[in-house]
Amino acid sequence: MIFTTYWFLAFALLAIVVFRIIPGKRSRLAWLAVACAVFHYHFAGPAGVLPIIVLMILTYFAGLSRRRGLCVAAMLACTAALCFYKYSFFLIGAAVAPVSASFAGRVALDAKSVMPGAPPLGISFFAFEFVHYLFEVRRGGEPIRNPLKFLLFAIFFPSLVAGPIKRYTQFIPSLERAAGGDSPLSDVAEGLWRVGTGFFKKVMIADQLTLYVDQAQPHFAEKDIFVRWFILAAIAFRILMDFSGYSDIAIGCARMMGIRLPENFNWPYAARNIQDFWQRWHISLTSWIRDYIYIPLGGNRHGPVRRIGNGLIAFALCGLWHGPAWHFVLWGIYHGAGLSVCATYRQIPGVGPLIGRLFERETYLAWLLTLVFTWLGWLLFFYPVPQALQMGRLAFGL
Amino acid sequence: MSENLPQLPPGPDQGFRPSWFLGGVAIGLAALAFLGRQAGRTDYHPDFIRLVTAVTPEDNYYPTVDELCSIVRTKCSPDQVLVIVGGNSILAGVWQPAAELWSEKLQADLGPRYAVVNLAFRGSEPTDGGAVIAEALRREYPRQIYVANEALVTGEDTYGSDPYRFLFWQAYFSGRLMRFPIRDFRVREYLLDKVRRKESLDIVIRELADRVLRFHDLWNRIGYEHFFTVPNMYGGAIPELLAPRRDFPDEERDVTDPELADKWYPPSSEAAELAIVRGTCQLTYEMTPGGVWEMTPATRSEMHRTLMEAFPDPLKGRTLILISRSSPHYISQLTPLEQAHYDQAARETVAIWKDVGYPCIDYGRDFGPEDFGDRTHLSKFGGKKLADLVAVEIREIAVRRGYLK
Repeated sequence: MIFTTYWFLAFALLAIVVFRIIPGKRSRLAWLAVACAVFHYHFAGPAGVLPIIVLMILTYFAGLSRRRGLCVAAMLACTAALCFYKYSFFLIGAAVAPVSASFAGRVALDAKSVMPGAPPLGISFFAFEFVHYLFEVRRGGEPIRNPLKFLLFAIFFPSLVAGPIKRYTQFIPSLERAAGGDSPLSDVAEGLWRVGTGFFKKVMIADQLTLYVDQAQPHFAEKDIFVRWFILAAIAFRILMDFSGYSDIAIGCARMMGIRLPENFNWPYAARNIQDFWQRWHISLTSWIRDYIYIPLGGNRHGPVRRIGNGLIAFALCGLWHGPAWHFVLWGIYHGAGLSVCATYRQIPGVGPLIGRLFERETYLAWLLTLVFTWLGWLLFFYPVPQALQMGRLAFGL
Repeated sequence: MSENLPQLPPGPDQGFRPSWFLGGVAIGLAALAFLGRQAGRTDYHPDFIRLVTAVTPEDNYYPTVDELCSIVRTKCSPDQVLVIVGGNSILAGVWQPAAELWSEKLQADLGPRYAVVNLAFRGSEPTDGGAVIAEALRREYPRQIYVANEALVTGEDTYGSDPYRFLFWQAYFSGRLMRFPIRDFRVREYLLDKVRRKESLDIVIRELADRVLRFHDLWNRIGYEHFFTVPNMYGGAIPELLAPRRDFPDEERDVTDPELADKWYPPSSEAAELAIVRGTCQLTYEMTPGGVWEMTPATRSEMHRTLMEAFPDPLKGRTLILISRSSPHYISQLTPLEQAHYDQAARETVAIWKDVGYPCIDYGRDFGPEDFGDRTHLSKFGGKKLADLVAVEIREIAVRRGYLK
């Protein structure tokens, strides 16, 4: 909800206007760094700032050293921090509780006493960005030497809260150009349009759909089948409009300063298969998962069984990234399974090629099937598994 | 490091001129601000009787100070004594259909020299809603009386209660409230509290921005007359999602309607309601060693302080407070001693309000069970009795303050 606060509007207006009118590249970078620090401190508070400072310093120096061992150690530290702040209770519940519930309770209490009330602001995003940075440097990429630029990569305010997950090889050149004054007025106009679009999606559509869904969902079973599918559509569009609206605001704010962030959504509900869907949905996360989990696991290089296994692992982790709960994991596996079927069904002797040709000819059928698959998937994303299964059954009148 | 930049959506058309676009945005904002200002200046609630749920925060509609002031201007001409009714759901007339609302009866009792406007919100305090509007209109309507109700032994927040505080902030930050140093101090104390630092900053920025851009007024008018983008929580069917709020009529039911017999003192809630009545004085009173039932000194001093700070001194004398007693249906089930304690608490509550400078009466002692719809809300019969009581008090205040000869 950070972008929909009045504080953010006033802050963004001031930060962007001053960034554009202030002379000199260094002063622009310095101003932006101050603005980002103020933003982060305002929303995260002192306790939330500390983890990112520690990880930022670690990542910066590990990257600067270009030593593979140090980079790997820093990557592990980032991952451990993410697990600690976001998944401690989940892991205790999943790994310790089945062995000893009382011991798990004690461990959970101990963990609670050392943890802040909420995970540090944007940890899911900056931890992934740091891992990407270290991975690329370890692979021979050029590290960011200027600490100010690294700071801006770490806490760039538009993308700090909800992405898109940046790639430093794209962000730093764009930042340098913008700070150098190479940003026409059209950037402001296009960025403003994008911000407006984002607010429209978030406030006018997503927030209202949330109200509707919260009101209607408890009565799902009492509704007729048409209204049930209307509720499913509302759930599906709520998350799309909410998340893509947030991404639009982030991309638009950056664009107003002349800085380009990666696109995150591209009409995902127009996808004609699950692969296509994941090339259109949360693109920056999907590509991160592909580059830093799926491919390092072996990708599709070791035969169909490993390929399917790697896909399921990658998507289970993708699901877990969204939240520390089993239903997110199941949602990831559901999509991983969908992708596996999508990638292999043509190899089923006889019927496979036939189905493939049918979907090629009747594209609306492929689109409809993809839509139904993804919309039903949101039930797993939003609700506990038994409730999701029941709603899924009711959606078909069963 | 200058490798491929991210793919961007299709660029603007050849004819796109950023300066024109940005100029258009600026002109558009100015035009919307002008429209918002105009929207708040005219009354768009025809035949207003009271604030129905669809135009209250309960249903995500937040009426503005200008919007409510415009309603008052339509209902009250400058030569009339303005009577604004605030308070909670009891004075909003829950269980009374619009045609038999107690404040309509009050208007009839008082006659054309007075104009009664019912701005009570459910669950609000005397310092909420109607209080803010009355204070904002103090110069325009110097001959005004504000009526609100309160429970026994209850203090007030000088800046209103949470769900309705938005009206206080609007009036406060647009400079429409009186200078009242202790209230200013409490407001500063509230806003500077570290716990709500972010919320406070947001309130200040929102109100200062709205003062210039008038988005609340514009949006409310569009939402009331054309389409409202927030779903109606009391509707359910899909077509009601975007329905303008004027489409939702006053559907308050008459509790004396035989069809609602099961709502009138439902047996299922009898024990819980009785426990509430019994608990009224338990935390705020104590038995002294001499066997005397006494309000605790802390309660008394806290009540005294908050009532002192509730309204600016010049407004205290025109603020009529009604202390709401519970229905005799429950009181009669208390032991004689409990009844005596309850009665004492009601009398002492009135005495404290009066001591601080407010005209104050309690009501309900001589009402019958049929005058209430439940523990607190009045039926149309009780409403009529309340109107008669209040009319007498209002006339006295009007004479005392020199509003009428």
